[in-house]
Amino acid sequence: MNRIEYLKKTALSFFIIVTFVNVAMGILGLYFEGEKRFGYEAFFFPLIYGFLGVIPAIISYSKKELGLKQLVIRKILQLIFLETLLTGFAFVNSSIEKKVIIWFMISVFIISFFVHIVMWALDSKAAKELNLELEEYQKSHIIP
Amino acid sequence: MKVEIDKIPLHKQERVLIECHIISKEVSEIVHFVKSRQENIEGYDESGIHIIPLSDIYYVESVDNRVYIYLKKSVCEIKMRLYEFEEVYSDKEFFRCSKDTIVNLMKIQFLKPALNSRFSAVLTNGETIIISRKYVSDLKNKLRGGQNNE
Repeated sequence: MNRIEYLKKTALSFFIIVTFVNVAMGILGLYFEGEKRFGYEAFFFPLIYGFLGVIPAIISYSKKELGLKQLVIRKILQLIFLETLLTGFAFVNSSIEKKVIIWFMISVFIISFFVHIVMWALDSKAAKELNLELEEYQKSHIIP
Repeated sequence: MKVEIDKIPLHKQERVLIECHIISKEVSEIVHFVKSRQENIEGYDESGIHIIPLSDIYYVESVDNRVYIYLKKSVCEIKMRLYEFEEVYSDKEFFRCSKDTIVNLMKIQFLKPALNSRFSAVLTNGETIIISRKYVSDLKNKLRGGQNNE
């Protein structure tokens, strides 16, 4: 993957993460600390988590084409790094309590999973468009 | 369109003659088909040398400095480097889809997403090959009528 493709993908991941972090913060907050009130600074948290969330993607970045085994290992390392980074940040920032930590980590895992699902859906859309173009190409070049 | 086939003696050269009022899309397709059947490549296997029409090739793969062409149910080696094959047949329906593979676009049944922003091409013989991320934009160009960038 070249740098531009990588940056595009990272930017896309960032916005997807921000969206899902918003949803997760809303659900976790309502469930565990429904009475808590925030100032305007709360609007920045999804952005910060989104930024921190894309940093571990560096682990999966490679100019060379990765094999399936290499890719799976890197994705696992990426997830471990992601969990550590976000949980560490949340602790340092005192934005979560110990009782919520497991739910926070599960949320990070679910968000990470959904990000991959959304990326997969976008790739499926691209594949669909390519299939239409391929069909046109094959029609214009006779199929023996 | 009326179709006539005349059997001719062996010493005479075979030819296809199309008599038409206008060169329509259908006529062009017939011409393209006939031409594509005339372009052959020599393939080798244990049983000897085979003359293989280019249009019968599903994909070409380089393995350990040897280049193989994959047909519907068989495989032959060719005495050509992969980059040479790519250069010679870049104006045909062949597309470099990864570092070591060139695929015949006419033999792709459909494309589907694979891991890490790559695509899988399912061929009409049921085989699946990977289209690397690096070549996806080249594929789009080729399908839209351009040549490969690389």
